Amino acid sequence: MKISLKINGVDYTVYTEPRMLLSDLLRRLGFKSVKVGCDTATCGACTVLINGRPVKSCNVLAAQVDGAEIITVEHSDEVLEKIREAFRRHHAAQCGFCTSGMLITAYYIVKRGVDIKEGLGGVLCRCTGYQNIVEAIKEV
Amino acid sequence: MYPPPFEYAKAETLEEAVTLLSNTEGAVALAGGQSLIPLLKLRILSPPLVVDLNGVKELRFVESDRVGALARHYQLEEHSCLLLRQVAKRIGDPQIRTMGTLGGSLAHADPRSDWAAAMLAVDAIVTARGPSGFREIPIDIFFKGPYTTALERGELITEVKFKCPPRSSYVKISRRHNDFAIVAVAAAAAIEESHFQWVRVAALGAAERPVRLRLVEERLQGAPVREDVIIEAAEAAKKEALPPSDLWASGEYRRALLAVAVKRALAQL
Repeated sequence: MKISLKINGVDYTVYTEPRMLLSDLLRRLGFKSVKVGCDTATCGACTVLINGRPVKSCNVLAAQVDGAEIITVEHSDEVLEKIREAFRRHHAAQCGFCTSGMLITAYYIVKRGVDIKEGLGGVLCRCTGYQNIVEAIKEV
Repeated sequence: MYPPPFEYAKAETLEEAVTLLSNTEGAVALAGGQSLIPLLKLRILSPPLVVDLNGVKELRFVESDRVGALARHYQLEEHSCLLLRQVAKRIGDPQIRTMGTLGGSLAHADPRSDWAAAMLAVDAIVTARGPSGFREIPIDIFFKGPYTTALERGELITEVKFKCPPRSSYVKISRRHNDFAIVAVAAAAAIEESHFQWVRVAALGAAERPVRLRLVEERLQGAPVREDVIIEAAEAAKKEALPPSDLWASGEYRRALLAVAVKRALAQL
């Protein structure tokens, strides 16, 4: 089937199977920031924004986002750069596997003015390094 | 894990969706997919056809006393009715709430579904559309058991109607904030001159399916709003509940938690 979508501001048209997951499609298109952590919609490492709201891309069919706008961590703008810088300053990463999910969720939190802990609820850090992540987002 | 292969059809109208679903044995409807996609990935379901409802725009409305089946959880976080806001905020996490829908949640009928408790507490009426037309199903007879509803083959939920209660509360007890409930209680009431004029108490984890706690409601009906009345009503919950045991909690633990949840929910009204 044919799917058209905008990823980080660039238009894509792809031909794929209906069962293709958004996470797999994005990785195949080269957006390797999308980490498949648990593959069961629990950990949130695969979080991307669809039309400005976060979703777990391992739990969404590519077919569902036909015509949508997607933002991954490969995106760059002033806000996301500020968040990256704050994460660096606060050393807001340990093993780093959840970091893409944390960054993109932080981007949503900052842009929409969501409560930080409430907003981060769907991304798990198994190193339990939440404190520095929260501190980093507070600073942005 | 990939879902098994399936045919995919995107319905543009309700009629088209109903026709597609009733013409193919084993076809399933896709709303937000937050329960369906895990079932596909685990290969618990292998449907020949997935009918995507997201093109059916008439199902995506939110009004003060009726909500379309495709209203997403996050939209209901800002609903004019307090109970809907209280419940929507406790569903999963922000990512799940972006995609998940009210109709999808009710049709999936997970016995721990937050919306099930809320809808029982407001005497909701579910409207379904099937091959032979529309029909209304009172929520009290909608849930038949775990993952089992009164919906017939080819029938879809189109909307849910309810009357927003003057007072409400939702208490959900889970191991972690985003988890499914071990026990949850949705309470709704009208209180006049410090007496319960009308009251509904619905619970998750009190039986194999979401149920109203009628003994608790009976104790409260017409009674004064006082701590001893609330404590006695909460004790009654233990008597009428038949809580299941599973991986997360034993039946006895649930029974004890249920009384706690009922007490807290009533105290917050």
